[in-house]
Amino acid sequence: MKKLLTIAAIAAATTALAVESSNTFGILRVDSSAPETIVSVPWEAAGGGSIKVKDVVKTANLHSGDQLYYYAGGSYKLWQLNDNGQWVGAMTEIKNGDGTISVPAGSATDTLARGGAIILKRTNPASCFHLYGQYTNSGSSTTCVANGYTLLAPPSTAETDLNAKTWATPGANDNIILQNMTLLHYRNDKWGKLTKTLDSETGAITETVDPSVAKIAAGEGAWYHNNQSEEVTVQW
Amino acid sequence: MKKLSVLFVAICAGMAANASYLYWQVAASDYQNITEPGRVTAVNVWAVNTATKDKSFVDGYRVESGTVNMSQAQMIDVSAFSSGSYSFYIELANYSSGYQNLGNTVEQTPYADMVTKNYILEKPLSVSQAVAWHGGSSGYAAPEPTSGLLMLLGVAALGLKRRKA
Repeated sequence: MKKLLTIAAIAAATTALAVESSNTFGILRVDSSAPETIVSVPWEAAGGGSIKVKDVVKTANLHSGDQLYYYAGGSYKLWQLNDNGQWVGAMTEIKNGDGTISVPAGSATDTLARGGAIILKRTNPASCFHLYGQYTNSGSSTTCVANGYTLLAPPSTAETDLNAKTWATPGANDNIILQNMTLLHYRNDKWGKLTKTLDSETGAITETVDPSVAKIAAGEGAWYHNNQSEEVTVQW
Repeated sequence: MKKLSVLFVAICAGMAANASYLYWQVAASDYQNITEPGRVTAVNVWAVNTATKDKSFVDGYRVESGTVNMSQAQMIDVSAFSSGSYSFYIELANYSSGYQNLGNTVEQTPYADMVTKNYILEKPLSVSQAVAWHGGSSGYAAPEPTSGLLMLLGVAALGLKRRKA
């Protein structure tokens, strides 16, 4: 069986190469030294289907105590890298202005579909880390976003222009928050960085939107804040 | 030695330029003590440079029905004010015959305090914990010493509502 497996590529920079077969594994290098990185789920599990959370991020370049935060249903789950280089479920607490949020331990069976994302928190971040999975680029995948906050990411090995994708239908008060905390609004069917200016005499507010920043680097993701009751979809 | 000092300041300034955004709201329940609610035509958020006292427009909500009722909190980028030099306040105004400041709904709050309370978010892990910065319940007419407490109660209630949802 092992002979049937093909290691696709140890990607240079943010490029991944692969020869597709039924069992082709890909490794995507993500150049990020941020202590907290929203990490893409670009591929699937061995044999297809959603990949286990604990299998998405390779542990090379990481350190004991580094953490993976999975977010679903309005709450986090946590995995922590142990001294043996394994992701294991762990509990923690996050303080905010409203008190303390308990974060339960992740399960070994929790999975993420392509187009999802998790947050990698590193205590001593190196300049890069690697993502892993069964390589596929067949077909297009669709991510659905319900009301509230959702971590999402383009299942791609190249930079993605969010305005080149098909969205249905973001609300005027929906937002995307990129890895670098750039805040995007949706205006005139485009995502972009919004600037407001005030006419001091009339009180009128003028909006300008810069769509050029609505891009997500390969291997990274973003928060989607759905502020409406209707589901939003994006076809990657 | 002087060159070293200059370099150190430059590095600190670079580190302070974090990307960040503010999550804020003034709902009808926030200003129930306002004596002349019909006069409010605009709600503005301002950033104040605490050294120069210069103020910069951050975000605004325009009142169309005569009653301030922002049904949803608003997010706005405040990266330009992400340093210890800035404080924020929410202002009620009337523009029907030129600008008229009707007062502040909350006292100026320093940037660092806004981050601590999760009204301003700087890191990916803090995003889902966003807590809306509300206009004070005491409104502009008669600011009370307890306005801060009332604001916090409102925020706590919002948090509970979110968790139930």
